[in-house]
Amino acid sequence: MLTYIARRLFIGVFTILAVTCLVYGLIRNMPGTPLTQMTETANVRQMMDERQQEELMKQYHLDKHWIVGYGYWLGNVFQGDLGRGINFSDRRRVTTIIGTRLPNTLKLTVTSLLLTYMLCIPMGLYSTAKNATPGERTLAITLYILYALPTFVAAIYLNLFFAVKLDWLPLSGMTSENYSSLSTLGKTWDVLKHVILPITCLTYGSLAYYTRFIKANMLETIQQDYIRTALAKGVSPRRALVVHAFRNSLIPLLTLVGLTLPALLAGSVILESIYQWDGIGRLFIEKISQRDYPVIMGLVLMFSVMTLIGQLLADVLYAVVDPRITYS
Amino acid sequence: MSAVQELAEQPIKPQQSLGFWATSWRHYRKRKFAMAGLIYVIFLGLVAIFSPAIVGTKPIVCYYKGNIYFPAMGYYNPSWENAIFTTGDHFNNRYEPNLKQNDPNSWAIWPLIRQDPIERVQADWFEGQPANPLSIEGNPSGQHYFGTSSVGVDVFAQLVHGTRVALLVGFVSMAIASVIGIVIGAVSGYYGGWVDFILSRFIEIILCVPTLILVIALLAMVVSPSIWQVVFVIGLTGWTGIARLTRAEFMKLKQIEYVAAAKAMGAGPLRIMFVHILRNALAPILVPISFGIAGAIFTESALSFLGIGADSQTPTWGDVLKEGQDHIRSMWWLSFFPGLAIFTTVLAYNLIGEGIQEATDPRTRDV
Amino acid sequence: MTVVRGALGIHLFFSLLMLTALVGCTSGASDLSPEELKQAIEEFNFDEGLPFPDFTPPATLEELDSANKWSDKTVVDPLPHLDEELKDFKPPMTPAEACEIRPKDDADYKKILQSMRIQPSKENPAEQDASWVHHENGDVNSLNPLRMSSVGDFFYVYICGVSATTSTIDLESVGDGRFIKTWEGNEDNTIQKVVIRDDLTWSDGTPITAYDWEFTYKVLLHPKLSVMFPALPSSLDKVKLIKAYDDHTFVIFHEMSSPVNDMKLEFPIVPKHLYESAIAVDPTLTDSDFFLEQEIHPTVGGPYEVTQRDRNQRIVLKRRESFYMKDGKQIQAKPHFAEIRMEIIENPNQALLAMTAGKLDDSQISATKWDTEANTAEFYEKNIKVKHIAWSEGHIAWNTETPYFNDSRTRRAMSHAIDYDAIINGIMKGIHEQANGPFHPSAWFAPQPSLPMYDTDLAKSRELLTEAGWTDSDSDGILDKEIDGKKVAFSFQLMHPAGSPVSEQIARQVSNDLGKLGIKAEPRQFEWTVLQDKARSHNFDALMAGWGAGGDPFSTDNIYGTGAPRNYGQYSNPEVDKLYKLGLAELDREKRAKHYHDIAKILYEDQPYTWLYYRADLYGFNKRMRGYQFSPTGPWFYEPGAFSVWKAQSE
Repeated sequence: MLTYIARRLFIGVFTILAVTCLVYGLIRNMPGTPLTQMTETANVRQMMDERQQEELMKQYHLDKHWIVGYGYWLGNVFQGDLGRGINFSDRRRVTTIIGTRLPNTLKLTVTSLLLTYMLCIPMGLYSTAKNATPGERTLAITLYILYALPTFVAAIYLNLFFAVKLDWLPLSGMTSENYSSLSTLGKTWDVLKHVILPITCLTYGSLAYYTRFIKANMLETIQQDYIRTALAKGVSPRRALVVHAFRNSLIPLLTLVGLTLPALLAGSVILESIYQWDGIGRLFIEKISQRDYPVIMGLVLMFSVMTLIGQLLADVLYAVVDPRITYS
Repeated sequence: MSAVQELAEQPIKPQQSLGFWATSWRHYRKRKFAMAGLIYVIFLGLVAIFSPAIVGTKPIVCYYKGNIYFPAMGYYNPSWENAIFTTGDHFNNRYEPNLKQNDPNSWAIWPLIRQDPIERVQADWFEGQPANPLSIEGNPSGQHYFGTSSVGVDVFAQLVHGTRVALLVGFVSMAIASVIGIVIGAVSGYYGGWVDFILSRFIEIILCVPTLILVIALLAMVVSPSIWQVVFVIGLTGWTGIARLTRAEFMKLKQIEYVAAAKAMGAGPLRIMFVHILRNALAPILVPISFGIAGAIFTESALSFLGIGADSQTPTWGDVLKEGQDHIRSMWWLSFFPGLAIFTTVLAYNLIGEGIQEATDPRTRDV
Repeated sequence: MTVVRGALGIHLFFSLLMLTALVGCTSGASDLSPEELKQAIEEFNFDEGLPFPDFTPPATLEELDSANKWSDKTVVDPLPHLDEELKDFKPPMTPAEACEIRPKDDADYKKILQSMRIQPSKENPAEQDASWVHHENGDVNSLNPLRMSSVGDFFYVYICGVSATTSTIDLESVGDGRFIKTWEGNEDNTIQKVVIRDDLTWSDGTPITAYDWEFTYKVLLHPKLSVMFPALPSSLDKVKLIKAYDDHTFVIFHEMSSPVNDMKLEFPIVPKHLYESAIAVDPTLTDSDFFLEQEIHPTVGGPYEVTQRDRNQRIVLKRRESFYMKDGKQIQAKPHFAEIRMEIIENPNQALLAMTAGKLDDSQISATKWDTEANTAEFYEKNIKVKHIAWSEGHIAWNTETPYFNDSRTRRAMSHAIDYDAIINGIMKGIHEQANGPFHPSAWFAPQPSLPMYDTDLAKSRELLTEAGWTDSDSDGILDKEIDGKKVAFSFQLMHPAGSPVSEQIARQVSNDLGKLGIKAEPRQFEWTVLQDKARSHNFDALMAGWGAGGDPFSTDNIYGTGAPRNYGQYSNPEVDKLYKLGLAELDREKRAKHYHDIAKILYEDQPYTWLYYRADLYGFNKRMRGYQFSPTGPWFYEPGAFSVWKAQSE
């Protein structure tokens, strides 16, 4: 197994080389350069002159073929340097820019994922046990309704009710203005108040997918002979379902965890922009529109590494729970 | 051995003649919700096809200056509207007064509702039909079932004509994604070894490249991008989940006895993969596909939310919804009706997906 | 197996490298001794970027004074000056009455603005130590005034910064009496002498001196630093030198005689005593501890200082006592607010909700929501809204190098084909007004009497198109013309930025209007950066966009001058180029205005653009806010502007 993991990691380096090269080529060949938005200031009178622009082009190797630029980038990465942001909005190091935003995004996504699993596993089991009963149908339809409700519409109505009408929760932002002067308990409460609405919006839509996914796999499993055997041997239906059957439908669920790992880092662009959440999702879209190559590459590198780790994790867990699968 | 041969030579009994799909259909039919979903989607398909005949300001058929014309075809493609009405006689979309004025002998068969999905209908367009109300005046009424937008365009007309895009976006993008995903996943899972190794790396690379970058790059490369380029990208990038699930199912199923039996009976790898294994693997794969069809509608509207949409001459549900979020309290009908349209369609897809899944799975369909 | 071990080794190696790099980047503080610092400053050579290294200014003030005949330029202390102006002012109604108006037409908006003009008094008391929650729709990028680039940055610098000159509500350049005592110019306006106040201090207690101006000028032009400053270096174009003669006097030498020389001093300054060594140690202006600290608690010289900065959330500014008090005596007018909080909310729907809930004291409102969401009873419960016409325009730029638009007759035909009523009253609900040129008719540089608006006249359009050779020769419904033996159909793309519902609707309308002539205009939205890129490389047919004008028309040669950087449509008219040159050099206001009138008339005939509308500034204010007034560029960025705003006592 260790050999397998080591081999996958080794291969992963080459996959990442391929991905970063592809993405660098793509973003360099998209219309516009980092300078396109930088030369755009609020005033007609004030814009960067030719000399400044040439200097910047040289500094960031924009005047050379993209493959050369990629070479420079890669060389710096091997020396542990991801560079710094080009756009004036943030000239700090890429590691700092991403590092300050990442915890904010994780705060939302990890909580939401845990919440989803906590809600969906019982709902999935319930749907399997009571398949095709009116109760199960009602649950399914309710979840579909939630799924089909566009996030920004839901967000606006939730805000209207909880933040404007009742004034219980803050409308947007991550902390209150007096956050630094609060006690530890007060700080926790303040953060909690700010995350409730975004997490609700982030979670409700995914309930249908996970519940249905669990149910589909469970329905398949409970038809298997060993469940019948277990039932015949006098195991209670509940135990057969929860212990025997559920353990087996964990496999596809684990694949799913592996696949969602990068999504945890990516965050949600729409929710982050509605709730003025200083997260990765907004950073990514903002930097793409600014064509801020070093930051985009930093983010893509992070996404790729996490994607590969997620895949590897799924495969390894897969082998752990299912002895039929072996990796030689 | 001979008994088997004899059996095979006998005339086939009716029950046996029911193939995989026919059996599935028989089971599918029994599911009321799934059937309701299917009927709804067929209904939407009809609405999409006949949209110019349902709502429009251009006659379906008209007789003008000695010829018969079908101006409503212009709604499918602007160049299909006969030139005589546009640059020839400068109708400016006002058909009724112009027909009458230029040719007293003309006649026309009109759509059921005389409203336009792009332009506001003015007072002089049709006799006895007032100009569309603007902005907050545009409440739903007997004249405008779903109200009018802030510039006075009839929302019902926008939604009916938007059905064309809404249906095609989901189906086309997911058709592309499913074909790629299932083929790659199947080959990878069935053969394993080096094939699996290379295809898995390929899946990983595609998985790692952010869709947003691909969409912007592709839209910028095309001279005149339309909604179809967006659909194409959604399809080209959306298959990795399907591929991975297919691969996992194939890895599991290829070790089951019936595959060995099929192999022993001399079935080729293609036959084993796409006839024997696939139908057993279909159940879990259909989950992401049916959600994906629905999701493509969301992706399209999310892209237009982010300002990376396509041409603005094609009315879409997302467009109306986008306008609606600007006026969520003062003009509720702008978010309610397109929201309802998206919601019912997504619901129908999901019910269909669930129905197919349960009907095709021999282990669950008899429950 | 060996391969695997090797691979693991590489991984370990990489991660170690990463770690060392991360550790490395946190340091960078200056641990240099004073001598080493001095040496570093010398080596850095702050004079390196001077545009005229050979220019030697007069050595002493006496020498300078004897060579020039000075004449005074206006210096105004904004708040006392406003009080003086309002001495006999009678508002049409009380602010409380004005708050009850549900404005319907321009007269209503005018009434509200007039009633709100007043300053605090016994009858209209201000809340003591009030705080103002100001809405910004984007983050402040940097608290280093030299690096300002976004609107948020400009607001921060406007509130906290120090500059020698500013502009009035009519956008005339004046000396800022809060910071300078006198401002004089020589006869041809090529040399200007400024004497600053002697009671100014930076927030660290050090006095502000004339050397800070000289230093800032050199920093902005330094070749090693210039790529750090997006906006300011270009505004110092054609300045020969800024030299401080003593602690309180500095002189600016200009390259040419021009009235716009008065605008060159409008840049914010930085403290020399801190920046000089800090820049020498860290020319990135980013990584060293000093600059990291400056991004949180910058050293400022203006009326407010920063006490809290949460990136992408808010910036809290506190009134600075050492600005208006010295040795127990008041030296400046006391700013009205104890605290100004800039709340950053990017989503316009959320901002309007926050405003409705009374959590913002002012906010810009988008035109699409003006008559819908911002017109509800809930909104009016806590807020009022005001509208003021701005000198910014919205237009369609025609690429004059394309076969479609290289003839002014076709461009005029376009302008006559557009249904202005549908755009102004239909799409924009009459919020903005129709435009007929680059200059708003109320500006001194717009022709008087105003030129007539282009009217919708399809017959005229057809006539012009036929004259220009466009006919439908093959009866396919689309006009065509033979160019170089090839038949070209009149079918082009109308480019507009994505994400703006209004421009999408206008594009649709224009496309419909042109369709009536047999012209196929395909509206195409582009991502903003792609659009910019296409515009700059002239790779488009027609582009929908807008320009915000400043107080002086000279800068529009950036747009209409031959080969100018923002002349996206490649318009070229030697006559216009000549008039711009004349306008830049003419010191007499009347004669100068005449040149710009002529430019406007030529542009009117040539129609390089089809001007659609002049944009109105749309704001909501909390009912307790008072004292706001609009210049043609909006309620801020002039003096007193934001400083005349105050908050009434709650009832």
